[in-house]
Amino acid sequence: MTEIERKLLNIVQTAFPLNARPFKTIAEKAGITEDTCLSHLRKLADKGILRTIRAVIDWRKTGFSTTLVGVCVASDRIDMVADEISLLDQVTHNYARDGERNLWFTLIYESEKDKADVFNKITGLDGVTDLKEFPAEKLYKIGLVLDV
Amino acid sequence: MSDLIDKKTLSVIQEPIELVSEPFAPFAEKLGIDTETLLQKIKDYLKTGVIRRFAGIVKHNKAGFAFNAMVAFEVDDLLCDDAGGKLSSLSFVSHCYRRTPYTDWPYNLYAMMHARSENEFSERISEIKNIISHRSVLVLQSLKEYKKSHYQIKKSE
Repeated sequence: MTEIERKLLNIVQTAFPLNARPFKTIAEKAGITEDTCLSHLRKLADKGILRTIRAVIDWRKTGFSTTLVGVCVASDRIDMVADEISLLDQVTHNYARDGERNLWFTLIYESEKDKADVFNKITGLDGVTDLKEFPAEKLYKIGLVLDV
Repeated sequence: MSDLIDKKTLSVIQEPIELVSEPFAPFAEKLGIDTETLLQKIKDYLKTGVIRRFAGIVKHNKAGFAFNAMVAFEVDDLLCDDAGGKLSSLSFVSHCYRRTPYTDWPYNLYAMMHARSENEFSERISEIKNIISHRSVLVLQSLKEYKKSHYQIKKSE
């Protein structure tokens, strides 16, 4: 990554301007033109480094709840189980991790019944031996910003 | 969903913006309002916390962070806030939460951490183990990403 790419990524992550021409403002900060700024960012997006620029919504403030779920899955079934879980709209993140509790996903739900339905479906999948949820009791940091 | 929240507006502004000179114009048009009004709505939602942030989101492993882990600590309840604060101050920790433990799963403090290399990963793991007073710790390295997305309100709702 070049110096200017790093600089632009750090600006869009930390201080995205909310005005009609945000990339012009960013370009001015970085000392380049708006067109150059956009072409750098498009390149970073094409490479998959800049995933997206958007509003990150706190769903809990809109009546939804979220939870973290850890599942124990037989190792030869993990891809199948993970793919089933990823198909659910309410699942936003899904990762294989090392250890016995080897599949972890985050769930967003509107009612306890929604959550129970999802848990029932998953515990019924072949290879799943245990499911536990780890709801957040307190948020210390939700960064989303990485110093690149 | 709360009456204070305009679902239609949220369903539009949750979409990623395009990399174009006037990225907010299409959203404003969809909502039948002008860009200034749209930007004011976004700022209002930021103020009330409905929108947590408006920003670019960088993919960790493509930005060079190939080694990522969720680190789960068992810490004394009384020390949890202090430990959470310490972890949060580290630039390589992106998320940190206190979560409900179980009798057979005693971990109550979780941090997501990121590193560029295996060496850096081990160093950072040692660093956080050293600064947090804990009874036990579990490093759950990310082995495979199956899904990383964000929730979307359905347009029909």
